[in-house]
Amino acid sequence: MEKSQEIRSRIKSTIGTRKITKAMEMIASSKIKKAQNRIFEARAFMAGIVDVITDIAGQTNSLSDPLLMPHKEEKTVLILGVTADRGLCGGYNSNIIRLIEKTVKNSISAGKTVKLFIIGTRGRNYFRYMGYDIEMVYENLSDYPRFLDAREISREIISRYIKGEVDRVIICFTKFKNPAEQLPTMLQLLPIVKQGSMYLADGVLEQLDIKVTPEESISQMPFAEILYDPSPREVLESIILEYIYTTVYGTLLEATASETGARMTAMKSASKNADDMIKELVLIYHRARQQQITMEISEIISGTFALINE
Amino acid sequence: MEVKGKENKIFLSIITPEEKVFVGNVDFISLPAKSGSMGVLPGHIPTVTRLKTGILKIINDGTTTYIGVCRGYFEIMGTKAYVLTERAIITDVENLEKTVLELKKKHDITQEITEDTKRVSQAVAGLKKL
Repeated sequence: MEKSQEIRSRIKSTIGTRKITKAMEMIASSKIKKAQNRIFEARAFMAGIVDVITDIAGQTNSLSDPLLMPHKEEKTVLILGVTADRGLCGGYNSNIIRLIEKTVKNSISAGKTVKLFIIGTRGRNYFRYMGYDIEMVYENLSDYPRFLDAREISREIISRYIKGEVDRVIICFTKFKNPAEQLPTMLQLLPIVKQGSMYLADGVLEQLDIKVTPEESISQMPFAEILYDPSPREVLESIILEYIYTTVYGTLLEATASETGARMTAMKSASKNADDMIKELVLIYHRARQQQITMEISEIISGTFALINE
Repeated sequence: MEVKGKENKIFLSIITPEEKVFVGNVDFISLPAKSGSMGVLPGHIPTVTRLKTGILKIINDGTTTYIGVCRGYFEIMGTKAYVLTERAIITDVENLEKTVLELKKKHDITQEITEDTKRVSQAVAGLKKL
């Protein structure tokens, strides 16, 4: 009797675990839709900003914004690593942490000083444990990043770049492809590189899936006809900041969606495992119970026989 | 943008990083531009303007909508117009001042928070492993 009792309590606890994983899976799958929508909204804003910058860049040939200019010497690299606050999301955190660590090590071996900014408790715990020197840690925003959070982080980064404290800024984040697939990705935030005719890192647009197609672009007229108020330079100066805020915001949103997706997948397989385990345990339980009954019956029968024989 | 602007209308989208606040055809827009209030009718020359925190007025088919915006940009090309702003609140004629105050206050608070966040972030980063 003892054995079957033991199995029964195991079944009970497995059912309890399954309830939790199932609930987490359902929460994640309801959140993911929202997270995807937020990425979509942010992309619309980004596309609008990129549009204005491209127009201005087309009109004025010599742009000399400090954020567009690479520094003469590249000594210090700022790496912003986007991790999650919570675990239980499969390989999400370990994958992105691996990429951050690789980037840090590569920069150090190239003889550069690294300043490390970390978003998320998981990343902080790891890098602190490994003895890295972390400059800034931002927590409690991986669940629902707001634009203001992104702006605060960007401001800090921009002020350091303009002061000349850092010469290059790299963001490591997880790109959201679909709920089952996330891609740890690197992106150079500053200086903004000119690639081809676009005055913005094409890489950024590509990484964040922003496409400014000719039909969508509202500037189908010759550039010279556009009126800028107060002046192209002034509009550009301020809109470039907006561009950086939005890029950072975009990476935060991608990371959140990835985290949710990873959690959903992990919890799905956990629930499945629990299901399998319950099935197996139930079988074992029945077997043990039957064994018990058989044993009891044979005991009774042999007892009866003994009595009859007497 | 699937909906095409009608002949004498402007197709306006008010976009913030977090949501699209307004999308639709309008007859007239009044903007809080950096250099002063500015009115836009269909057929306006292509313009890009910086906006300051204030109230944007939209008139369509005789109905007026008020939307508070927190800085940003206005762009018009042909029949399409965009407002890109960090925050936009749809409001009504009685609460205009309140909305502007709220947007401005939010901005001031944000400044304070920025300082606080910076300190907290540095402090957390500086904590040693237990």
